[in-house]
Amino acid sequence: MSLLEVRGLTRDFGGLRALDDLGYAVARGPIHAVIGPNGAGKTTLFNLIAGIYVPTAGRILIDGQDVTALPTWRRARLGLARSFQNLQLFENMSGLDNVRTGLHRHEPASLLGAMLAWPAIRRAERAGRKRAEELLAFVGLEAWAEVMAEAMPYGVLKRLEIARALASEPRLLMLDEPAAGLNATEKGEIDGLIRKVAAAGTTVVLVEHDMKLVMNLAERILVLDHGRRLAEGTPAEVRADPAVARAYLGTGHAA
Amino acid sequence: MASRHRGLVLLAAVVLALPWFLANKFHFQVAILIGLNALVCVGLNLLIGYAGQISLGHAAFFGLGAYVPALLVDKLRWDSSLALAAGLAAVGLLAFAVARPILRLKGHYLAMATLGLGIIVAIVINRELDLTGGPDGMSVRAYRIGDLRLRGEWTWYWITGGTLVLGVWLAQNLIDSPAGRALRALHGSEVAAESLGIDVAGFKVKAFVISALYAGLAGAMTAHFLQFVTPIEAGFLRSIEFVTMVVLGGMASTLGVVVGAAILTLLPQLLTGFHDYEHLVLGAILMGMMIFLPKGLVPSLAALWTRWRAQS
Amino acid sequence: MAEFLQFLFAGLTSGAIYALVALGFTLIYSSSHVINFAQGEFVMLGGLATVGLLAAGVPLLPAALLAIVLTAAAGIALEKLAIEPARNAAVVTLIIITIGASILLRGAAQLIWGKDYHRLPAFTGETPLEIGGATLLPQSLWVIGVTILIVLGLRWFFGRTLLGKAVLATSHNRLAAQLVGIDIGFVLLLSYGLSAALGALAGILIAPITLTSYTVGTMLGLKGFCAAIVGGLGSGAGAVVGGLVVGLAEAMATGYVSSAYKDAVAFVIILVVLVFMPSGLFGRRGTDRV
Ligand SMILES: Nc1ncnc2c1ncn2[C@@H]1O[C@H](COP(=O)(O)OP(=O)(O)O)[C@@H](O)[C@H]1O
Ligand SMILES: [Mg+2]
Repeated sequence: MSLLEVRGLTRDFGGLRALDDLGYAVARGPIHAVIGPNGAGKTTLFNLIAGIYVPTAGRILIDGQDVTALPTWRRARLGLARSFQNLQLFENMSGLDNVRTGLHRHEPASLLGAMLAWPAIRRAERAGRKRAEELLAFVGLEAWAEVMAEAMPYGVLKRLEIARALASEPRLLMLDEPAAGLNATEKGEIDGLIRKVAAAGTTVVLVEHDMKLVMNLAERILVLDHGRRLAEGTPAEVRADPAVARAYLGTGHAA
Repeated sequence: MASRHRGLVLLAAVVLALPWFLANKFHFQVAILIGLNALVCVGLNLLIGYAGQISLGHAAFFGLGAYVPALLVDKLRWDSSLALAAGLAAVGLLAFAVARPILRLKGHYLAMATLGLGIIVAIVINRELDLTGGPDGMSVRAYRIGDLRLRGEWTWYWITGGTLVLGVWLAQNLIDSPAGRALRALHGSEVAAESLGIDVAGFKVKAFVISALYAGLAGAMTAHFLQFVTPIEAGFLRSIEFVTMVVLGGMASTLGVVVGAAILTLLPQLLTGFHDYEHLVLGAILMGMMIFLPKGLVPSLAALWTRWRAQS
Repeated sequence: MAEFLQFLFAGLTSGAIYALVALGFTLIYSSSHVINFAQGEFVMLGGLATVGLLAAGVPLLPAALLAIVLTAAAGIALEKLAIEPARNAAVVTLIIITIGASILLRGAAQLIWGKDYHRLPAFTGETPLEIGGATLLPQSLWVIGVTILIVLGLRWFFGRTLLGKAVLATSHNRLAAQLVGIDIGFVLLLSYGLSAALGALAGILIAPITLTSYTVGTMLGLKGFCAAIVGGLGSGAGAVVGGLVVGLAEAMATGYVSSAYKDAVAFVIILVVLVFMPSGLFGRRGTDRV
């Protein structure tokens, strides 16, 4: 059974069909990529899977369970995590607290218990702090633990968002353009980071425009254009596909 | 001692030391009212400062907390503690019932909805003359535990001080917990919070109910202490006063809102000499503070202090 | 039938006033994204300033015009001295600033005009007209007529004049407006001044019917705010419809149900509208992008 499967997924915005009758399955394990020109519907696909947009038609299954009707937070509790194309950090919180928030689904979240300082919650607090520090180290951000997110540079925020997503120990991690806006060194770091995450057993789905990065990392690639599936296969197959070349040349992108 | 309790100890010390500086009954009265307003603000701050949800209607919960127990004792001869519990239950239920639909709204729409709710409650209290005495208010019996009547400034000073310290302790515990981080997170980004498995709507409801309970309890205590209550306590301006205390002292700073409550409770007392100018001055102070210290008094001063220390 | 007509007249009159206040809210909200809680005080200032000028011997028309100009100046001062310096502040902060302004204006009015209720003479006599068995005050016709003229005038201003289009452009996209050379600072001053003038006009029109004092601004302002939200904040047509909805509902509820809860009607409407149509009757709904 696939870890993630979407069937006949469609989403309209007014008159615009951003995603059109898409079928797509993600097997457990390797790194997957979704590519396509700007406006192809990649982010919309992520938002539909995460439950942030409601599909116009179609179904979404995680581990065979139909989650189409579940709210975002319930899907997240099933082990779905993501980063955002235009960063969604908690600016009012420190680096460490951002990551600690990622632990939420594994922590006792009772308000009453917290107010009464139940021992179980104080214990979880101590363990959570340690875990978050480890995760910050994992993405190389130990130095940023006590800095407020609103004061962090872009490259740091990108990695912080990944650390926060990892904190929830997802089964499926969706990264929306994790390397966009980064310089060559930072891209190298992200590349390494994604490999480390995948090696630790998390399935990764990646949206990315940097073809070198995608072709290096991904074992399977889905190509979207105008909300439809243009091609799917290994990097070599996708590269050899004439339809893909045409779509990219048509919109001025270099494959 | 955990660092989160440093402020709490400071507050407790102030509560313990203050009586030596209070010269007369009137001073005690003002101190008690400061404490009761501060109690409302500590709760409201969880909603506004931490969860980032504005409410311009919390005086409704304060007012219900005052009226419901008072009426149960007065009309039905209920025992004080039972009536208090029932009053808090009523406040909690009302808050719970309205929270979900109202808190789906954001920004100005949320402000408007909470304002509307507050005004409706105030109007009902004003209009149900037979029950509440209407605009003239009603007298409230002293709180009784068995044969003991809780009366007088000295008694209420310690009840208020103790409750405030307890209220701050509970709030501080919440802030430094997974649930507290969930509240701050949904303030920062609702989508991101949801995407991490946080039940945003649920946490908003809980924060709203808890802040309403703080307000309700403070309302009940105020009514029992003054042994009198008028609909003004539930009115629009009272709601505004609470929000202003929170923002003035410093949002997302528990000690800050206590300071805010102290300033805004003291100000009219200090201005009584200039009675005609009271509103003029109050309005000017509000505007000036918000324009020049938008983060609130305590956080702004704290930032100044840090900068000053870094320089020297 | 006569009874219904009577309630209808009352509803249209107060609805027109709420519409004017709501238009003022909408104007300021569109240009600066601030909800101006001092809007009701402009209504109060307009009425009381006219009363004061009349008492000083100025004839009605110049007194009214002068009162409108003075109130507009107060609106401009509010923008310049309080809103502008806090441009980047959070929504709550801005709300409290305008609430502070409203307390200040109320305090000033109380100092100048005292705590008494004042009455303006009706513009053209007090003899009620008989229509279908119901009576209609000539002043109500003034209220409704002037409101219609104002609505038409505003439509012309925003649809046909360069300045009006500049204001609209600013409300849609401030940055883009700036890039095409619109003077944002001036547009803001203009909308605060215009909005205050609208409020003052409403206050002058209604003062002969309902009396006026330094406290009348709060409720009028809040109901105008309800009307603006019912209409979906930021839509001029919405503000007018919202004003009429609130005014008519209030009049019908007062007439047919009970007058005790007259003031609650607007707020019940607002809760119902917000719960079932979270962006108002005329607001646009979209999916937030992330
Ligand atoms: N919330 C939204 N409202 C309206 N249109 C949207 C929204 N989100 C995406 N779209 C449209 O859907 C299409 C696909 O967008 P998107 O999924 O962001 O593309 P990609 O991520 O592949 O660049 C675009 O034409 C975009 O304008
Ligand atoms: Mg995208």
